[in-house]
Amino acid sequence: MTTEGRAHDMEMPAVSKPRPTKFIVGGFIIVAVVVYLIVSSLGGSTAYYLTVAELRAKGPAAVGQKVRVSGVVDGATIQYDQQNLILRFDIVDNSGRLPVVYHGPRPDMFQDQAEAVVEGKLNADGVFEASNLLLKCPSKYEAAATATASPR
Amino acid sequence: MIADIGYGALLLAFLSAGYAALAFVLGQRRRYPELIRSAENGFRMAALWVAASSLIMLYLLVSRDYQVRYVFEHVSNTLPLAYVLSAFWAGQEGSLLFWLLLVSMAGLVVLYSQRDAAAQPLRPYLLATIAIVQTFMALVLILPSNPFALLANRPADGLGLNPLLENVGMIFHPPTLFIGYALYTIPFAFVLAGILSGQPSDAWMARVRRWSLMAWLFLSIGIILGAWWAYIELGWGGYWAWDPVENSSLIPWLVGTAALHSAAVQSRRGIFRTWTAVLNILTFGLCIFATFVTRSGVIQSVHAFERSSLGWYFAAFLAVAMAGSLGLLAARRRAFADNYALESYLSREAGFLIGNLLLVGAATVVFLGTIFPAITELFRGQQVALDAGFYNRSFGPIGLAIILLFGVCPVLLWRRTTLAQLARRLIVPAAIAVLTIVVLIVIGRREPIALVGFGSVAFVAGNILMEFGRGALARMRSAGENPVTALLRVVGRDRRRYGGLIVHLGVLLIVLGVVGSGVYKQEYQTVMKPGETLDIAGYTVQYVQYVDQELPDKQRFATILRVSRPNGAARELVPEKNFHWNVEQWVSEVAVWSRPAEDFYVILAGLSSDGTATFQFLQEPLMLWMWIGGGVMVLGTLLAWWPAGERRRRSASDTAEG
Repeated sequence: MTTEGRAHDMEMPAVSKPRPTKFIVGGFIIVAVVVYLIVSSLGGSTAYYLTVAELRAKGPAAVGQKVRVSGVVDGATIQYDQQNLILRFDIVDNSGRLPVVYHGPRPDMFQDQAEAVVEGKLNADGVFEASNLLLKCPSKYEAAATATASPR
Repeated sequence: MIADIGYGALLLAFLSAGYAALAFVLGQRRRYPELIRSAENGFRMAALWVAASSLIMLYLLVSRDYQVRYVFEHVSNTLPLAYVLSAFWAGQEGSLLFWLLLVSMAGLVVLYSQRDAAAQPLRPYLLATIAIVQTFMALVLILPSNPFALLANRPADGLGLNPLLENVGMIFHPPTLFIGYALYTIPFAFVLAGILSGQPSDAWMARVRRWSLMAWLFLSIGIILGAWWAYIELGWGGYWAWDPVENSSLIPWLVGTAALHSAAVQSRRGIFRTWTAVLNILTFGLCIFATFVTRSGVIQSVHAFERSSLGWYFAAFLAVAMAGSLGLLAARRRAFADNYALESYLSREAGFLIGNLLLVGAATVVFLGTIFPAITELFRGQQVALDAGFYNRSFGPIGLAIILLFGVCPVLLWRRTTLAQLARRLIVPAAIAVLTIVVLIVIGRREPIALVGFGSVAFVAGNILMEFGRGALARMRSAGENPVTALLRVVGRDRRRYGGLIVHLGVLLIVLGVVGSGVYKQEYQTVMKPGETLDIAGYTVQYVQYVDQELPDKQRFATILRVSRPNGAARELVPEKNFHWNVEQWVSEVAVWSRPAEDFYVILAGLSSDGTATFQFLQEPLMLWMWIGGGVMVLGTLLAWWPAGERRRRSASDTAEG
């Protein structure tokens, strides 16, 4: 296979000449574009991982800013409006308690003591409006216990 | 007792593989053929011991020996046999044993297939590298991740499998990924053998091609099955969430794709040698990285794998393997000099190179996005996560550029192409693309992403189909064959090229699904009582019956819907919400009516005891094409992989991978 390739290139010197500048420029342009895409795409997509206390500590500054908070679902606070698919619950971490509202079907793994990660914004009334509700199964399963729900 | 034998077999596998690695290198360095022969025996023994411990693992699973912790955690009395067998790779310890088994079996194939004279000087290094990887995996299995660990007592029943994982996709998705990861050891070993022996040659690299293709194929299937499982089972109507664990399988796939293309150019033209070596090394490293991400807990993921010290074993191995092999490559880089330098941007070489850079760029985007929380924690003391928007904005444009490139690449010639040649061959596909866009605008589909996406697909598909047409036409003229025979012959004669083009067609079909469902997804939500009928988005939905029945393993709540189209086509869809007794958990089952135009996806979102149900209906245009495209990719890869009838190629200048 290769011998054919080589035969075809017989007229070529065996050692590479230095690459012409134009290709180096081209390479740099591609690298620059990739870097630009990465940097420019960061805007609006970042969400800080905060504890409930850290979120509270930010006070009014936290309102409207996208963050992720994780905690354990308190089963006693779960209210699910089946007709309109509105899910209200509190999550608790070792720094405090956060009331959350989520619009969408109740995920299968959503239950008392489930480990939840909510992504969204704190409303002015102190309720966390979750646009994304990620759950880790609290039980004995190590493998791929996952559920994602993103209503649009 | 039996478990102890399994553990003993692992210990022996570790010792045999370790001995083989040392003896291969020493035997080659000191020119001592007896030692090499002995190393080969060690290599065989290692594979044998791994196979023995795997069989023992399977026996323990099937006999439901709950004293073994792994069996207790993954099997239960009611679990069907298929899932009992799949428990072999369902958990961490078992999947690593499965990985070691795959590497060992692939190693045996290498041992018996690379025996000719040309392979002799590199063979000891090749096998030594495989043996080193085996030694590492066996070490992990005897220390932090022992699959044969015992519980103090013998429970009467095991924990079983999470019902979410009881799905065909889940039986095949993890092992296919693991097969892909494991097989990527072989290309890495070939590259390292080339470096260590100081005799890298294009002929040597050509031998690795079918291994790389096979590894890539399994990785592709694994990723597609994962997406399908998420779509069918997780019930949110999506297939990809840019979760770290998903990303970590995509990164080696992207770099592996670049490596395949770069290797194709190297074996045909004798250039990109260093670049090919680097990409193969990186692909292997990224496969290890994937395991590190999954198991270390460094990055928060919704895939709730148990965190363990295991991740750090992988991090250490990764660091040593990458630093070692890239360092050696740098030291021996003279042996990797290219035959000639690039001349023109309008050449196939340049096209491949740009495509390579873009693939690696796309992999970099996903890689940085995945480790972003860890980076910000390191520098700012706080984890910052990125959402899907980041990937859509950064990965999207690069993906589009790659797709456009594989519309242009097949018509570029090696060395240089004149603008006139290029224009002549691109005019028809460009016209098809413009026509597509015009039609879309006329029928009112004016979203920019759709126009760009579908326009690009039309351009590239037009070009690829014309490639097939040109080839067939030439044969019809020269050999006087009918169109079908001519097409089959032309494809059969150059399977590498046409297999590659078919894979590209598969990717285009996937793009159709991504763009269609991404831009035109619609969502409706309604409350219905049994007996009610409703018109929604061109479908008539009749809620026929509510079923509440007690089954041995679960309480089944099902809503039987009859969904019909204006043209009379109808389908019974049964979304369910079931409560599984053994895990005390709800599991929803969505119902999907897939048609070429769109998927009608029904989620049972809420249910009252009188049968009043809240349904979510999703319209997902063109989703079916995503899975068809996956199938086409598999077929194309197999065609490219299939051993050629050792026919001479016509001339190097008119053959190439697409």
